[in-house]
Amino acid sequence: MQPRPLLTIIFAAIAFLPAGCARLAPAKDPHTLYMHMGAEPGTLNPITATDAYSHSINLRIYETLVDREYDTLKIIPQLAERWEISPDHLTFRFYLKKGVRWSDGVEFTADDVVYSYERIKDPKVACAQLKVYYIDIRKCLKIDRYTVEFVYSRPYYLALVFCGGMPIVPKHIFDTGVDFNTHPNNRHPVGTGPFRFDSWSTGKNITLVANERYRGAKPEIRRVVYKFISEPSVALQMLKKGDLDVMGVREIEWVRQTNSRKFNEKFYKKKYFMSSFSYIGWNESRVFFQDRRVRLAMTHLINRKEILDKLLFGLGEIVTGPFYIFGDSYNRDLRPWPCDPARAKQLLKEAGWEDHDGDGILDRNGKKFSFTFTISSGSKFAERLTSILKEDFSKVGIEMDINRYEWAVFLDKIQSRDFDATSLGWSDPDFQDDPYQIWHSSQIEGGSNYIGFSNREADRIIETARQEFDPAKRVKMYRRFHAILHHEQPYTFLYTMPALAAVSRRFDNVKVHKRGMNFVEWKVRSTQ
Amino acid sequence: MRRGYWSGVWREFRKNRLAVAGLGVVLALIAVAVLAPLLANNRPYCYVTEGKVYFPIFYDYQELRDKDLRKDEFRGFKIFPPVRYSYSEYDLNSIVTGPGRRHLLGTDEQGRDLLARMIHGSRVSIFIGFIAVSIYVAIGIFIGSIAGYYGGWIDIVISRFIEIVMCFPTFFLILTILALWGPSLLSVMVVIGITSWTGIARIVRGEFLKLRETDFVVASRAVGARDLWIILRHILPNALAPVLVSATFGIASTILIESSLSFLGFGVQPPTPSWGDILSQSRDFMDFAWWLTFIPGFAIFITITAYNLVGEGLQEAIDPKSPGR
Repeated sequence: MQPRPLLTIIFAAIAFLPAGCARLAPAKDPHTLYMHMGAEPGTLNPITATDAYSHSINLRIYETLVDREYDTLKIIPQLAERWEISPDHLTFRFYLKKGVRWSDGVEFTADDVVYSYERIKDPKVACAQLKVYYIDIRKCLKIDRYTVEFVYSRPYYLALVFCGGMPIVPKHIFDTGVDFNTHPNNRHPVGTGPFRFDSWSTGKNITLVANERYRGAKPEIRRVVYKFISEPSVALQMLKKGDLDVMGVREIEWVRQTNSRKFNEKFYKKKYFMSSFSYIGWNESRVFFQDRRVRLAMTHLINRKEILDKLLFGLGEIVTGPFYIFGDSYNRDLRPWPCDPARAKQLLKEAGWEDHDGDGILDRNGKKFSFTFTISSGSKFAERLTSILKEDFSKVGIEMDINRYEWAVFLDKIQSRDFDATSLGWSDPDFQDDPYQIWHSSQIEGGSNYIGFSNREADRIIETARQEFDPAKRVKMYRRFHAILHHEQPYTFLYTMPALAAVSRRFDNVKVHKRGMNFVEWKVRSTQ
Repeated sequence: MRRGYWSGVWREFRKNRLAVAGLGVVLALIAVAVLAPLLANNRPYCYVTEGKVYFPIFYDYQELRDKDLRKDEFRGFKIFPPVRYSYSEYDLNSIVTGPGRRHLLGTDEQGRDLLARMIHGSRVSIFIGFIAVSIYVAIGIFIGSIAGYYGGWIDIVISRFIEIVMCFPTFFLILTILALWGPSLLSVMVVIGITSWTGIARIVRGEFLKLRETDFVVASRAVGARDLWIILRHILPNALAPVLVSATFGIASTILIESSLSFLGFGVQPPTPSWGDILSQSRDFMDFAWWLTFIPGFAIFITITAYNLVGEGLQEAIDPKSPGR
C-alpha cells in the first residue's frame, strides 16, 4: 500500500506557465495523448521508485511476469507464458515467453528476472517498501534460459501476485558496475511494454512513444506526454483550452467548475471508486489516546456526515474500516459511529478526563487534554478538516493545535512517530486486502503501523489469514478483523473518495474497469 | 535642538498630502489590529439578564461557556461588536456565500465570515511587520554603529560580513529555515529579522562614518566621554532619521514576505487567519468567488502602498536637498 497525502497533493511551488504560448503551437497530432501529472517523478526505475506518479508511467514501459485482468483481477500471463505452483504453495515456476525483446532489441530472458530479484534483495539498493514483500522468498533460481523458480519459506496467499508482479529491469542495461540507485538509466528506462521512453524534459514533461518491438496489439495512441503541473486550477484551465486530454479533478471542480454544456461536449467525466480511504490516526503512545474510550469519543465528536456533504460535496462514502468498501472483506454489519458529543463527553468522563479545575479544559491527574494535530501543508482538505475539529473539540474542553509541515518533513515526523494525531490516506491499488503492513504489531517500529496499534487477536488473524488459501474463510477472518478495528478505533476512519477524471472526447472506448482506466485500449476518434 | 529637528520633519511631512493619507491608513490599520477582538467577536461586550451583568468578551464565565448568546433564546440586554462572528467559527450551511446582509464581505469555503477573518488577519500582518523590523533594525543599528564608529579593520571585517550576508537570497533562506524549524509566526519573524538587517547596518555605518568626525563628537571625546556614551547619546540620535525611512519600507516588504509565505503554506498555522493565507485558501474558488481573492489582495495592496507612501514622505521630509526647502 502506498501512503498518500490526503486527497490531493499540491506541492508548495507555483508553476509559472506561459499561458498564451500553446495557442501558437501547430495543429496537434491526434494520436498524441496529453496527461496531467501533479508532480514530477523522482526516478523511472521501477525498483527504487516510491511515488504513485512514477508507477503510473512505469506501468506503460515495464512489464511483469503476470498481470491482472482489468475487470476481474484474475491473474493472467504477461511475460510468463504459464506457471506451476507446488502443492505446498511454496515453489512457483514460471515459463517465460520466448522471443520477447527489450525496446533496444536485446532478448528478455531468465537472467533479467534473477538480476532484478537480486537487486531488490541487495541491501545497497534503496527500496525498503518493496523489500517487505519479498522477505519470505528464500531464493530465485534460473532453471534454464526461459524458466525461473521462486521458493518461499512459508505459504502466503498473495505469493503469486508478488513474485509474479515483481518489477523486472534489463540486466544488460543496469549491470554495468554503476551504482544502481543513481544509474543513468533510471532517467532513461528500457522496457518491454507497449510504450518506450522518448524524452524527459526536467520540470516540464516526460514523453513516451509506441514501442515498435511490442509483441501485443499496437495501441492507437502513438505518443503520450505527461505534463507536470502542480497547481490544479492551472491544470484545469489548460484542460479546458485543450492542452491536456486527461486529468484527475478535485471534488469542487467536479461539482462547480466542470458542469457547463461546453465542457461536457468536450470531455467525458468519469467517476469510480478504487480501494483507498482517508483517516485520522491517533498515536497510541501518547497519554491521551492510549485509552480506547478516548479514541472512540474523538470519533463521536467528528461530524463525518456533514463534513462529507459540505466540504466534499457528498461525493464519497463514510467507511468503518480499511477494506475496499464494495469488496467482500468489508464488514457491512458495522455502522459508522454517529456524531454524538453527549456520548463523547460521557466516554471522556469514564476515562477520567473531566474539567476538575474549572478552566474550561479537560484534565486528568493534573494533565490538560491539549494535543497537536500534524498535517502536511499540501493538503487543503486536512487544513479545513482540522480547523473544523479544533472548533468542535474546544466546545467539549479539548485543546488542539494544528501544525502543518512540508510533505517531506511531515512524512519524517510521522515515520519517527513524533506526532499526536494526523490525517492521511492509504490506497491499495491492486485490491490485495492484506492488512499486515499497516496493522501488524511487528510493523510499529520503522513500519507503516506508526500509530502503534497492537492487538493480540488482530495479529493472530493477520498471520493466519496470510496462509489461508480459501477465500471464503479469509473473508470471514477479515470481517472479524474489521470489527476489532471498529471497536478499538485506532483510526477514525473517514471516507473513501471516488477517483474523478475528465477525459477528452477525442477518444473512444474510454472504459472504466475495476482497476481504473487504461488508455492503451482507447481509440482515436477520426478527426472531425 | 533635536525637538526642533523632528518638528521640522513633521512640518515638511505634512505638506505631502499623499504621505499624510498613507499615515492615516497605517494608523487605522494599527487600530483595527489592536482592537480586532473587540471589532469581530461572537460574544457581546455586555449582557444584562435577570439582574446580572456580564461582560462575556472580557471575562470567562463558567455558566456562559459554549452558549451562543446571539440566539434569541438568551433574552436580555446585549451589546454586540460590529461584526458578530469570530474568525474561527464555521458554518457549513453557508459556504462561499457572496457579500450580503448577513456577511458583509461574504464567507469562505468553511462558511467563516470573511470580514472577521480580515480583521483578525490584520493582526498577523501588522504584528509581524513591526516585530520583524524591530529585530532587524536593532541588529542593523548594533552592527552598523560598531563598524562605523570604530572604522579601520573592524569596519573592513564587518563590511565584508555584511556583503556575504547580502549574497544570500533571503526568500529561499527563509523557506529553508522554515522547513527545518517548522513553520510558525515566531520563526517567520525571527528569520526575517536575522536575514534583512544588512541594509540598515550599511545606512547606520555610513551615518556614523560621517558623524564621528563632526565637532561635537570630537569635543565629547576630548572631554573623556566613553565610547558607549558617545554612540548612544551623540551619534545615534542624529543617524536615526534615514533608519526610520528604511524601516518604514521594511515593514511594507515584510508584510509582503509574510503574505507570500502564507500563500505557500509556510506562514501562520490554521485556523489563524492572515491575509496571505486567506488568499492562498481562496485560489481554488477564483472563478466563482471573486470576493475571496479580491478582498485580501486589495487589503495587502492598500497596506503596502500606505507604508510606502509614508516612507517616501519621510524620506523627502528629512532630505535637506528636497525641493520644498
